[in-house]
Amino acid sequence: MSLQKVLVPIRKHDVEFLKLFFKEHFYRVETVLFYKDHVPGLAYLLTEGSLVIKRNRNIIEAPQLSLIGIREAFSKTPASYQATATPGAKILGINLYTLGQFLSQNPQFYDVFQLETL
Amino acid sequence: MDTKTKMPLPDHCKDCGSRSKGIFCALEGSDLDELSKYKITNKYKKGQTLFDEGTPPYGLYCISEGNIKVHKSSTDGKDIIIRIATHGDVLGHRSIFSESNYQASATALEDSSICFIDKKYITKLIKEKPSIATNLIEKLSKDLGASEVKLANMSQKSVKERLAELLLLLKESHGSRLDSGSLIDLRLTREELASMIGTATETVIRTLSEMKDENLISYEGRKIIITDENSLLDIANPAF
Repeated sequence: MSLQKVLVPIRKHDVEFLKLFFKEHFYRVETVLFYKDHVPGLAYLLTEGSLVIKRNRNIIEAPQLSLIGIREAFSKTPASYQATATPGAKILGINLYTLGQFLSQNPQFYDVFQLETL
Repeated sequence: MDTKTKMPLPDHCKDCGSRSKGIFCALEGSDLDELSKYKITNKYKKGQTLFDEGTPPYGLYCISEGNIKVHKSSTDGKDIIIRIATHGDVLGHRSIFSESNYQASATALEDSSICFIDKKYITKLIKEKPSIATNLIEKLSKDLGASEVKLANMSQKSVKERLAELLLLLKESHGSRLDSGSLIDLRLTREELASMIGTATETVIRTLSEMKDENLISYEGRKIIITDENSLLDIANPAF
């Protein structure tokens, strides 16, 4: 799978809806969100700033309103890449415990998160 | 086979070797099954970071195997080690309950097996299981007590006394018995030892050399063996 395909683009109005359920955080320092071969503890939606995805020598910068780690976290599968938030990034953390309840109340988000393709 | 690098990740909490030492030790049966369902276990290589100082807490971390350095950056950019966490310890719990960002960073000192548990799930568990809340309160109280002792020691004790106490504490938490004494099973640098007792690296090097000359310890590189524990205890005059 190319690195671009690990990103799930989310529409702006869906992002605004997600902000009602999940908290947005500001990253002041460069932070590894999850390492390659690790199962992410949660998924991350980049709302502002920059997030870098790296696999071996391939490095890409995720565009804003990209969701990463959702498939891996949901299926408890190790990620094939490392994700790093750069200073100034604003990220919505989507934790799995709340996600379960959220999806049961908003099943349309299975498609939004591309979880049906698992 | 190097058992440390090839350590199997515990799939179910009941298989975890550190379970009896942790705050979830009281859970059984379906409660433990549920915890196992919501925990994520990863192997962190030496040098990999569990969380960074100043970042938001999304959950807590249980150490199943390995040793983790909890550290902060000083205003002049130096790294100060607060403590070394080992198997059975939890990390990140204070930030969850205080709703603040992590006050320190946590980095693997060696290959370690770490379980991450969602903050929302922990909150639910605490409401439903008073034993978990009690264990957490006990842990927080012990952490607070240890911090107060450390603060008092920094102002009242000499470097030698602080170093003696640190070596004894490390022996308690990470020691193994040998014929010649007690080996501290942690390969900390002199700089790391210095940061843990708030002094310069050169002072630690000199003090360790004095202790060796007095036959209190022996060392080879980063490997330290306590050979005369009773005398070291007299020097440390610890609060415990």
